[in-house]
Amino acid sequence: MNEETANKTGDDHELVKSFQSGNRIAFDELVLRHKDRVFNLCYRFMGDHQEAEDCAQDVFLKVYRSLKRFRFESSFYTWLYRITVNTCKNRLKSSGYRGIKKSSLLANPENDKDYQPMERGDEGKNPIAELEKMERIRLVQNAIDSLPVGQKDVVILRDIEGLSYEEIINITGYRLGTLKSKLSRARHELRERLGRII
Amino acid sequence: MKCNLVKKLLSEYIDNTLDERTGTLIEGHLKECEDCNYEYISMKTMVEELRSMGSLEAPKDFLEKVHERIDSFSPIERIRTSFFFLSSIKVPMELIALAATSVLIFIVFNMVQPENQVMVKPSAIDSTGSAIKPETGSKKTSKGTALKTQVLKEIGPIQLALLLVAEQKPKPLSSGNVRLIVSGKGAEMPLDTPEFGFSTEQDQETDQEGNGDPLSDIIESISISDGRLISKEYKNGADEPEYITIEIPCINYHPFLERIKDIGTLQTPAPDLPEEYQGPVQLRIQLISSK
Repeated sequence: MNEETANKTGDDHELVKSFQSGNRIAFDELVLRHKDRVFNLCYRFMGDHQEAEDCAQDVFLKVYRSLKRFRFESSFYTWLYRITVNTCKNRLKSSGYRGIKKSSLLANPENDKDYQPMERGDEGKNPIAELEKMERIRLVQNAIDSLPVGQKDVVILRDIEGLSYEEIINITGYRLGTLKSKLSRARHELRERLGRII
Repeated sequence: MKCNLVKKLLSEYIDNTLDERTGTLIEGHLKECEDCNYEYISMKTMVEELRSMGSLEAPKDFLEKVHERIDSFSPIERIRTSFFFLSSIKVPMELIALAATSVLIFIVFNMVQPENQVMVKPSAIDSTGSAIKPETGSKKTSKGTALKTQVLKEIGPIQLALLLVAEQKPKPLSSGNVRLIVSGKGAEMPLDTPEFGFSTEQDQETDQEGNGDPLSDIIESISISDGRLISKEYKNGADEPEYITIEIPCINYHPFLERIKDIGTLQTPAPDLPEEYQGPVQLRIQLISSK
């Protein structure tokens, strides 16, 4: 099995090892493997297509810079998610980003989403039902956007990404009790905000 | 089970992470309480809604854009990450605090020892007319006895005041600011330090031969006691030192005190040394004119 083939079929661990030994193609393979999940996670945090794309690029740039020092203390996937969550949270907390969001909302308060996400497997379905679904998704995304950052991460990781409590703890560093209480508060908040449409 | 508690546990109930007994209690409560049941159903629906949001695809040119970002990675940043990777090493704050405290203690400890400060007057002249320099342990005394360089570590300089016998005090001391201070723990000065205006070894030996004045007698007593003169301290304009700092082996401490009783009167009783103490003893003696 040559190196290229190994990179295509091997798991993340092998790809990371390969990159650490100087094979840059291995990094490209890692990007291709994980870009959709990273982008999706960024979008759920940022609620904006362009911001999500910038964020996801930032994530892979950080990965590129740090991958040579990755010591396999956790899985690559957990490490990648940790970087993604931290990058998104830092960007959300930055005053610059808050300014952008505020001015965007002032300019177009009724529709602050400049991007309607196209979901995989949408082709060939009832257009009206799809529009309704997209509208519901937009409203849910708005409700998520309105959550505090400390509640947003747990609800995205648990309910949208479908991660287990253990995985979320590994990514965020929260204790189990903290995670449960944050998730409970976030769900109650969302339920109240989405009460009319659910 | 009360409604407040049930509502608090609904999130975990939906995730099925509660123990069996608590789950059963909540299940029973939900059957009876319409309000809580409504909240449960709406929360569960909301969670299902979130889980059905689906996933988005990254733009098709995402990898190319990542490459662009990597390639536009500034040269300064590259140098920083390549050569200064140590800055990214995480050091525990406790370790940093410990190191900072140690440095601070070291600085403070070295700054608060006034006896280590040196105020030098060029050509400090003793009563015999010879410039005197601090002695080191390797210097030989007039009797040719090699003295060990030992730094007093456990006992600080013992302060004594010696009232000199009138007929042996050739000149009165004048008042003013101290102009030479060289003493204290480990205060060592090089033998040949011309900028300090100190004497040669030959001059020193001349000092120690004595010429009948109290200082010469004291220096001779130091020599007999296998000790060494560390420094003299002068007041402004005075030709005679006001203080001398010396070092005496502890075994000769009491004999030395006996000897200087012939030269003057100790104004305060000299303290005894701890029995277990083996090192040299530093004495800072104030020479008081009897006039």
